[in-house]
Amino acid sequence: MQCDLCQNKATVFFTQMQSEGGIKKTAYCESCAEEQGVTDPFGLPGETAIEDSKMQDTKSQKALSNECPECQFTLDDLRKVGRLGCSHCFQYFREEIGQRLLSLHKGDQHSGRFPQILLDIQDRATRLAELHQQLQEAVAQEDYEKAASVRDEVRQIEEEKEGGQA
Amino acid sequence: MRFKTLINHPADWIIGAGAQHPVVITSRIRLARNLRQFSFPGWATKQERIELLDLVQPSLENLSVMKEAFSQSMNQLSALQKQVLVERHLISREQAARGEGSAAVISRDQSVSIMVNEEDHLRIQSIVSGFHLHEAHQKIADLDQELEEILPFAFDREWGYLTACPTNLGTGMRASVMLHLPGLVLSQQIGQALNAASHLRLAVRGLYGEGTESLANLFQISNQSTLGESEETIIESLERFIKQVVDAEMSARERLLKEELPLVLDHVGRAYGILTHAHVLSSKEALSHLSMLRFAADLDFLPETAKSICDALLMKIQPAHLQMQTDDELDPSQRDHIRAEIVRAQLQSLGSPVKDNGDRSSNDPFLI
Ligand SMILES: [Zn+2]
Ligand SMILES: [Zn+2]
Repeated sequence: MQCDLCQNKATVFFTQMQSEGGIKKTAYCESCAEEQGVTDPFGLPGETAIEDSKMQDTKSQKALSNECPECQFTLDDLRKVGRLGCSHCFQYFREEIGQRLLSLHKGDQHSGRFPQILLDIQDRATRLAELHQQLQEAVAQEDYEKAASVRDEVRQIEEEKEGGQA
Repeated sequence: MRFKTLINHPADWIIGAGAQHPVVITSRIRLARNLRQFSFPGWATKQERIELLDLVQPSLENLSVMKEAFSQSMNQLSALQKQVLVERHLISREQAARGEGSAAVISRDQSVSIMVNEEDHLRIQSIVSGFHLHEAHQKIADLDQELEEILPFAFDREWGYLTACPTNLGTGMRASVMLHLPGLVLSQQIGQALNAASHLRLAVRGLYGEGTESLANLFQISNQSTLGESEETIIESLERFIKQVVDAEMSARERLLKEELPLVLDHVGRAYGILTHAHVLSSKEALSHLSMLRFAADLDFLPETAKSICDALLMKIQPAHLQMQTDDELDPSQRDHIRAEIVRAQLQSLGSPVKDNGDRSSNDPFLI
């Protein structure tokens, strides 16, 4: 696999959970990773990062591009058995799987039940965005009493968030 | 709960207790769920499977519906015990073939069962008798919600619940009903009636037979598509199709009674004669005749109780259930002999079928 920023071999890999719920895969070579300041996966800017440490000590470079770093399941395995190795495989073989979905199903977008926990996170994110807006307005209007109460609510939601993650 | 208890107390849906439907025997829903941080069972090492089982089994046993549940790992059960569970539709054939690291957790009333480490980490199933898909779904939707609070399920906003096989993505839900369709089979309209299923992405499978053929006129119909529609939509479109099939079956019965009464009476009479007098009964023979007796009860040629007797017998005459009756290993001819004995004993109390049984004055005795 190639570095996202230059022609060198990628040796540092990250999976980033994004606030919209998607997952972003990042691959850097050693020096680009340094430059980006992302050698520590937990130091990644923005959302929570999960490090794919297993990927770094995988044997052959050739296998890398066709292998799920979480479970070492390969694209060849998928083509052979039609099943996946682990839930992370869906990110690594996304294109291959996506192409087959409409022959199997009536649609390719989930429109059924969502886990409550995801809905809660979404609700909190929406509420936080609202509150930040209110906070800015309050500050602009020099309404410090309002600003303080908004800030309290932000703090409360953030505590809930941490509680939920523990 | 011990295995013996489970065997001695057949589920309501097995004996057809409660509301009887003339066509829909059972409604079933199953959900596939997986944990984010573990490889799927087919790819995981045995050690990983054991680890997952150790993690989830206590949570499953703690579910309110699993009070005093039957909870056993596959290696703790004999081949015969597993086969009995397969015949009761409580575990799959695939699960029965598994050993350490896979398990079954079955509610005391056998209406909810969970397979651990089958194709997916969890396969959660509920069965109810009659045509009640929504009720069956509600039963495990609550449970699903209870579980997601403690177990981190693999979920993708675009593709829904992530499953080992892409055929189960999205809702991870398979809804199915078991139908008894003697009218459509006898009048040779069965192919035509079930033909539309494939256009609707519904799968049809004959029970106890090859492909879409069925020895006991029992057919299972289920959704194939699990992604792109909500659980409710999937259930409703299956329901719509099933209603059409039920209507077709009812008018086939009506037409048979009007135009081919001697044929129907002959089938029913022969079935009754053989089942109540045979001493050697193959499974094939027993299944097709029991189907005719149930048909007779639906047509009111036999009392209402005949239905539950037939439904219970369909289960009891299967090989592993027969084997459970004795301590010795049975060869096929001994099995056929014991099968005949059990059937005769159960049908003893039942009088012979008569047209216009009882004093029902309705012109449509087959309509309930
Ligand atoms: Zn680079
Ligand atoms: Zn994987």
